[in-house]
Amino acid sequence: MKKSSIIRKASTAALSLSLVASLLAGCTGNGSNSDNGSNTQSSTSEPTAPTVTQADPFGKQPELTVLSRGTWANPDAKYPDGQSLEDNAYTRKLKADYNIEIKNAFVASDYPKQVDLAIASGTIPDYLTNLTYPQYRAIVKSGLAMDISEVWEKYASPDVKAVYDSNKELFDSLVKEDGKMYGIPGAKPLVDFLPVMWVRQDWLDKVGLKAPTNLDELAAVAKAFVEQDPDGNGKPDTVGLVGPKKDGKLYQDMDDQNFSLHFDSIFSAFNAFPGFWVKDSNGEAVYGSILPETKAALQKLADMYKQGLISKDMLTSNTEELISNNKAGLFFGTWWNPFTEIGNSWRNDNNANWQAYLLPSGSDGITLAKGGNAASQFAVISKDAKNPEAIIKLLNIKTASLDKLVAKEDRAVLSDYPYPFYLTYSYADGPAKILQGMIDYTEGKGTVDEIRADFDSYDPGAIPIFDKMIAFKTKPYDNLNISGWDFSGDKANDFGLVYSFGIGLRPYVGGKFKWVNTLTYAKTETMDKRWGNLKKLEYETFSKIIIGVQPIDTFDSFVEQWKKEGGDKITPEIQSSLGQ
Amino acid sequence: MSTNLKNENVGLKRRRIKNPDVKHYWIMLVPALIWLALFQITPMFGIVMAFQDYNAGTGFLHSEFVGFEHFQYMFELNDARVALRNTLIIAFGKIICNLFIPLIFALLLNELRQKYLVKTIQTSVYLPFFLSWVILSGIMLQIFSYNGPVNNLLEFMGFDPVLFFQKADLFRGFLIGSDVWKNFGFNAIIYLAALAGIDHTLYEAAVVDGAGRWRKVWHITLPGIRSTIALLAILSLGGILDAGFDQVYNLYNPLVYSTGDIIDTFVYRAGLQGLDFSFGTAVGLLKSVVSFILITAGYWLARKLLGYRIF
Amino acid sequence: MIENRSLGSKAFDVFNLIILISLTLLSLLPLWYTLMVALSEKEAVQAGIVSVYPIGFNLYSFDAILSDSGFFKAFWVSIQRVVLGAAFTMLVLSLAAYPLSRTSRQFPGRNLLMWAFIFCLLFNGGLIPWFITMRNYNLMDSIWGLVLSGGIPIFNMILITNFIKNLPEELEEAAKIDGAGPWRVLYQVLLPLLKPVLATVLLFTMVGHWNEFFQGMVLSTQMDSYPLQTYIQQLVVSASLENLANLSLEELDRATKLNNGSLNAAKIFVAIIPVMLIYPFLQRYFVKGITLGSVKG
Repeated sequence: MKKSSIIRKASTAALSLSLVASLLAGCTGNGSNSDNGSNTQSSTSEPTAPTVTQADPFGKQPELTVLSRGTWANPDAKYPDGQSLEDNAYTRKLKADYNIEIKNAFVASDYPKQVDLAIASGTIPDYLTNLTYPQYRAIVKSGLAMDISEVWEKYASPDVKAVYDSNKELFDSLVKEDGKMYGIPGAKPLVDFLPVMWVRQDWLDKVGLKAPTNLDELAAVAKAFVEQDPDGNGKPDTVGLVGPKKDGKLYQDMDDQNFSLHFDSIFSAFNAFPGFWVKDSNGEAVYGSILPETKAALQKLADMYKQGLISKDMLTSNTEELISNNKAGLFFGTWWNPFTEIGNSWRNDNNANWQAYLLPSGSDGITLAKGGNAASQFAVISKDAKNPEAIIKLLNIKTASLDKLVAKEDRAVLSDYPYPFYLTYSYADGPAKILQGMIDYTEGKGTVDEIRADFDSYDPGAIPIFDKMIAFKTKPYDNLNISGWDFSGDKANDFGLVYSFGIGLRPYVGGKFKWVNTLTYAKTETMDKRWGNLKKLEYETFSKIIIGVQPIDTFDSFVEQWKKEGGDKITPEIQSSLGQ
Repeated sequence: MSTNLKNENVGLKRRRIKNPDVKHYWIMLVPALIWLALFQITPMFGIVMAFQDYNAGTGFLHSEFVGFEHFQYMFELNDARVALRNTLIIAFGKIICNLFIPLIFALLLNELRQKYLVKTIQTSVYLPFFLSWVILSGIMLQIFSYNGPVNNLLEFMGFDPVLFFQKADLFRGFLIGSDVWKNFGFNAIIYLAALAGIDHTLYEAAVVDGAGRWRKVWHITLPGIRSTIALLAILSLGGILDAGFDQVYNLYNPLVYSTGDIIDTFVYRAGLQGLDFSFGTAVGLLKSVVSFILITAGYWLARKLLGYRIF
Repeated sequence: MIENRSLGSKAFDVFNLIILISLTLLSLLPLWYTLMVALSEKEAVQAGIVSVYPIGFNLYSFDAILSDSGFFKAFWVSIQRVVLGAAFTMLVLSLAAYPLSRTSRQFPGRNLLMWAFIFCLLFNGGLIPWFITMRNYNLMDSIWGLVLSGGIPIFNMILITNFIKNLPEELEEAAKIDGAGPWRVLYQVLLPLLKPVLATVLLFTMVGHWNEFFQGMVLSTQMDSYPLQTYIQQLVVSASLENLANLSLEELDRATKLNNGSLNAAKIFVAIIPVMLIYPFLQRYFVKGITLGSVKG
């Protein structure tokens, strides 16, 4: 595992020094993976690439270009007056300035299902974004995707290419086949994958405990939250650790990442990395979910569940509502939870003082964090698309900042997704830079104008967020509790944004952690057929072990069955794909 | 059941006389046949996918044939067996319960002294039959949730709350129970009609003989509707592989797959969500074959044992 | 009928009354609960404290529905679907049922046809070929796609054919002696007599179209073409926040603020109302229609 992971003690100073450098090189997080062989691979492939003449990445289409796409939408979504998903400030601007018109071939709240149907029927619109890896792969396998190597080379803006290059090795391995590029990877910031432990500080104070630093303390806090009536309503209605929601995953794996209410930190404390390909003692690739470490972690979770330390109706109910309704004060989530559960919790109780921590995995205080697949979403262009260049331009425009495209008021109400190329496409360290800017400011290391100028040079979208953060923070600056922020009046609407960036990012910026990456994200031939099923088996078995409907010994028969139903074929395939 | 036989007799009389109406019959059938050709027979060619490694890009005209590979895989796969077992258990449970619980309800209603209540009761109990599983599962997920009214009631009575959607061993019972709840009133209609058809003089004679209520039910009512019960049982045979997609799809979750996953949901998950279109088609095809055999068997049994033609 | 009633018999009567009233309540309570949730405050619903009476009574949710264009569009699609679908199905069924109710001697090939119908309705290529076919017919996002895919419910067809078989043969014979052809027999003699079974089938077809969500989901590429049940399914059962991780931060914020159990309950309740209005009126027909059409010989 050493190979592709680094120890990262991101001290404030180091980060601000490396700010510009890392943006250009995109090094943070996977900068040290240069010690394996693939860098040579990319350096050999680049010179051989035909020299394509660069075209203007933002040039207006010579004639009206109509692009069809499929998109997600909320049936309840509300748009500002006179606008709609089909016709809004973005689409009008795109038409006026770039001669690009967007047609929605399908719109669905169950977007994945409509994509599956489109793939099944062998007809996809000009482009699709937000595809899962299996969907992306099915499209490529059916020969429906266009080889975009050339058009990408020619039209992608330098910014867009820089983001791609910030994680080039990984992206290449996923979207290129025989040197041909079939998709655009969605690029997620690394911070999305860091498991953040959110704790109600006011509850901790009440029960006289500190934020947990190991599993025993975690159990103690959970127990105190269950038994000592931290919400003070005289009823035993609070829970300890909040478990996964309905149909929710237990931990991040190669396909599903960046979600809340998981148990990753508990698995890491046992050095268990289920869902990942890891090295066994002989250095060979083995699937983490079938290792004894995973069994030990499951045993621990089952014990905790049995003792009532984990919310009872996990996996079958909307457990996030426990947080929203202030019946819980402890869970593992992501840095952006203030947008969701924590925001609701705060709206229901303005004194809810949520703080973000890391749960150390061992006695050295370092958290082992599963590195995510920064490219877990994909966009493809149909082989029949007439104007692939216009689609690349959509991404160029988005990356160059949507704020330049439409007026601020429109953007505030429209948000990102009605923009017709919806794909997270961000530098590996994008969000963290914004918090860093704020820390610099509060520590007197830079003036507002200096920091703004800095942002303007690479990500102007960061400026409004930075502005809000410093406007909302009250003095003294080192009071990070909820009492140290001003969310009165209209400012309440930006609670999610400011608290996510201001508190949620702190473990990433100041915490001690080390990424553990899966050895590969590759899907072998047997996996195409059987992986879905094996994953389901794994999920089912582990869930049942934790909630105690099956004994821990079931784990052993699970391992047998896993091997029998395809694991025994897949493991060697993975090993050989890694050259073992 | 005699009128059908009468029809046959009428037919016999006309033996060998060419019926001039036949061409009109065909004309009457034209809309139905066109519909059948366009919307049922045309898509049927897709069955070929079950024997191919279907490539969506090239369509099934140009996909590679793989013979029975998908069927072989299906039998290897534990999940397919689980889905088959669940389907049989759930469907069988529903058939049995939907036969007898409406019967009991019909008998109770028949015995009700307050006749003015009959209409109100019937109208009320029919209602759930007309509501979709989309609506009902939305309601049930709420009512049976951890802090929903059912668990509040249990707690109030001093029991521990039950996690209805987490416990695999409860889920089948839940499916069957909620299905019976939805349908019992409606299913009782046929029984009520059969009960009304029993000759009243039989009861009067029984009273003269000094028979009590129980004996009347046992000796007159039940024998009077015996054939109805038998017929309904046979008719439901064709549904043994229909455990109810809408219901399960809207209610289940991975924790209860082991007892709640049925063939239809399995096909949906493996075929569409798993993007393995050929495999899904293969499983669906197998289900159709078995259903067809069962319906044929039901038809044959009804005819031989009860002398009744279903259609 | 006057008879001496024993104590046990009286006790049974009381017991029976209690059971039947309980069953009645059991059938109505879930709807009552939904209504109560719809009438309660959002916070009380989230906290799960609503049960038999509303907490923080308000009509906000119903008010919100009135200004919800998505809901009304879906409602209108469903109304169109029910009316057109029922008309189409009734026309095709009433025409087809008559020839199929003939014996195989009156109508050679009748048995084969009947089996062909059964066969075709059981065997199909599954979802994907059907989807491709519908798309090739250009029936996506079209009300006709929803109407036609409802098609011929075989159970209903059997119901009508059996009902015809159970009618006294003499009526038809008499009409024929008067020189009536098959069309006149169908329209003048049979149709009036078929009233109970046609009312039953009409009810089934309408309720079937109203309640169907899956085809509505598959055949709609735009949200404007969702029928009501699909709309509700997307809203309530398959949580629309499923893909949280895929949303942008702003979108996330908006999505969670929209989550509202009380409003959803109000939508569910409104979706039930048309069914509650229709079926009691047709009730007196369907008891007769079903019994004569299916079992009683």
